[in-house]
Amino acid sequence: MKKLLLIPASFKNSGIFAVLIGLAGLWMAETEGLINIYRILWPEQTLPDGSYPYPPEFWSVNSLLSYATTALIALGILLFLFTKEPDEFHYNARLEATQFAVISGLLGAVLLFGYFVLAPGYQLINTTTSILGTGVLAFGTTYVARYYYLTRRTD
Amino acid sequence: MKDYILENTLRVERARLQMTQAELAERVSVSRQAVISIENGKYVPSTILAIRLAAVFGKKVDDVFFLREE
Repeated sequence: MKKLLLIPASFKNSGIFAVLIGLAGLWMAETEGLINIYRILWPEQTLPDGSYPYPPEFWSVNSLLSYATTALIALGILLFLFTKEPDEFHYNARLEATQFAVISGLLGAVLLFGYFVLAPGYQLINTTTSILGTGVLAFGTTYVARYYYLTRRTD
Repeated sequence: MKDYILENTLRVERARLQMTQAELAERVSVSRQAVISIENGKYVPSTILAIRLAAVFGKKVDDVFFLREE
């Protein structure tokens, strides 16, 4: 089967790398960690009490970092999804890992939803993020674990 | 329903030609992991790959791959 629309398999690792860098950058933007870069680059701005004043352009640079890293994550996911597999063995391993991960993610989300419904003291409206987060985490970890299990070397 | 396992003589054929797993993988354009998994019976190759593997050893598919009842 020809896969003309897919890009070469070598871009798959670049995609994973881009997602990891993007997540680190996004985390930095969300926690205003960029100020520490300013501290390193321009230490003379530090006040006598050890605090560091936010420069006037800080928030625009922080927003730019946030947008750029979000775009990097999106690009990484696209690179990962739209690359060819090196061979049919990896194609089937990835397919099976995805199937496992979908079931695991769904199961994780449903179980947590059940817990929130049955356990007292929870308002369902406030549990959406936890349920979605658990689903995504279960999907990701199962995918990586299953793919590693299928493709590990046993020679 | 009977269950079958696909076995193969890849390791024997490779030894006959003094070929490494990496060399065989390169000849049929797959990864070494794929060859390892096929040799160990962990992965059942597609018909196309099975024909290509057999062709490397100058044999027919059913000389290299055969079924065994589980």
